Amino acid sequence: MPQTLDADALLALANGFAAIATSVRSTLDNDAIALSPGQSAALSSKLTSLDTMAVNLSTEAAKIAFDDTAGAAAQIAAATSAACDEAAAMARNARKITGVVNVIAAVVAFGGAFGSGNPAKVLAEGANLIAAAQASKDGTVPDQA
Amino acid sequence: MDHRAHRPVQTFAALCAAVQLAACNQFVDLAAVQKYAETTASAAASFDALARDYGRSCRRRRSFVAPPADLRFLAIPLADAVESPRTIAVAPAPAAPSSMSTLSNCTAEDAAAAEWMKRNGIVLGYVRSLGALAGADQVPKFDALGTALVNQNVIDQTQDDAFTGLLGAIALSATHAGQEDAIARTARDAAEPLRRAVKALKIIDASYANQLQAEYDAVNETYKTRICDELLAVIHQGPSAANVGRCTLPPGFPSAIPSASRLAVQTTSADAARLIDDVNARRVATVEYAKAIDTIVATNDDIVRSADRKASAAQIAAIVKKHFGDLVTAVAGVQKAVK
Repeated sequence: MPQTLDADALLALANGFAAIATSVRSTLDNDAIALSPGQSAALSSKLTSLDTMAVNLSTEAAKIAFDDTAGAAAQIAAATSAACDEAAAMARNARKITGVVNVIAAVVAFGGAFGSGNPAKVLAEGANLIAAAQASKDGTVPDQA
Repeated sequence: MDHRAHRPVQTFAALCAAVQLAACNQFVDLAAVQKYAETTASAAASFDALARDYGRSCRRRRSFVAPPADLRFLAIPLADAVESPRTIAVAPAPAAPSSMSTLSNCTAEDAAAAEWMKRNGIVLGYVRSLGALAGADQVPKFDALGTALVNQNVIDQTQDDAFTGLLGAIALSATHAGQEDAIARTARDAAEPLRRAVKALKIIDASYANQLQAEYDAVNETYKTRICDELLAVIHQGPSAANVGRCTLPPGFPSAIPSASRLAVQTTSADAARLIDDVNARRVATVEYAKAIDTIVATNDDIVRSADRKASAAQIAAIVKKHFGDLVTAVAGVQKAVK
């Protein structure tokens, strides 16, 4: 039964082709080997083919690697989504508590205004109390600084 | 004045301040997790640029190795290009003995680049979610109640500071416990898939490095040919069999040849150097990118290990800080190459 190459094996093969091409070029440069125009063109063509095989195999390796890890990517995305939901829920809860605290504070302020006997103050604090209660009910308490 | 009456309040205030201070220290530590997440998120643009270049590098190489069939000559600007554009002959694409050596039309590379960007987004999004869990905006505030009580003379300012400080510290402590638990749980759930996903990212990063190597060779050989062509034409009075293999700078160069020719050769060399520098910067970026994604995995693994040992938020933050410097350097390296 024929075996298929995995992404690592394909990449290793690609790296091998690239290394051969690099080695040949390095030898030509360092040893200043003189080639006839025909030899030069033929060698250049072979080296270009090696380069092309290296990049094509590399791209194939990347494709296989992505295919093999599609499930892992989906799992990470799910964990991310759950974490973001949880962070949002924590922030919502914090806002809820702050909202209740604000209502209690508004009640205290309203009580003080009521005790002072100043109608304008009572009205103002009453309005504040209603606003705080509404914000707490609607969950529109501003984000924490 | 009875100082003894104030003593319980002062003691209470001092206790609250101590609790608050301890909580504040933890708060800053969780902020380090946020900072780590923000830095990682800031890498998104440069990671995308790197990924996008996978397809672009393919096309750049193709423009050197196999220009369009209807162009027998590839026009490359030379020093005198304004007045008289010159061209150099480009060898035809080699016959393909097999499909694997057939020059790509770059659609496969474009597809790989698109998937690479998508996967980068998934990994970076995950790190951002850790930052969201460590977010500082999840602690309820008690300031309004304290202020109302002070205004009604129920408590004084010192007592208010103690009161809100204590409530804040308790809330902070409870919140931190939830945050630590959530971060640890998330990191644990993501650990194995993250390792596998990052392995795929490293494979495409290495593939991109091979693509850049091929581009480097194509640029290098094209310009070497071109410089050689100029040298043969100017110095050796035209290419001939006798001059083959003599494509080297003559003794006394550059002063030994006419200034116009010298300028042409030097400009061509400068063009080549610029293109080569650009490719080399991207090759460095592939190394930095690999370091950055390795750091993300290492950080996550350490968070999981610490959670297994019931580490505190401060300990988790210490881990993050340990890797933070590596991450900043690696991200900066990628950003520098693709700016």
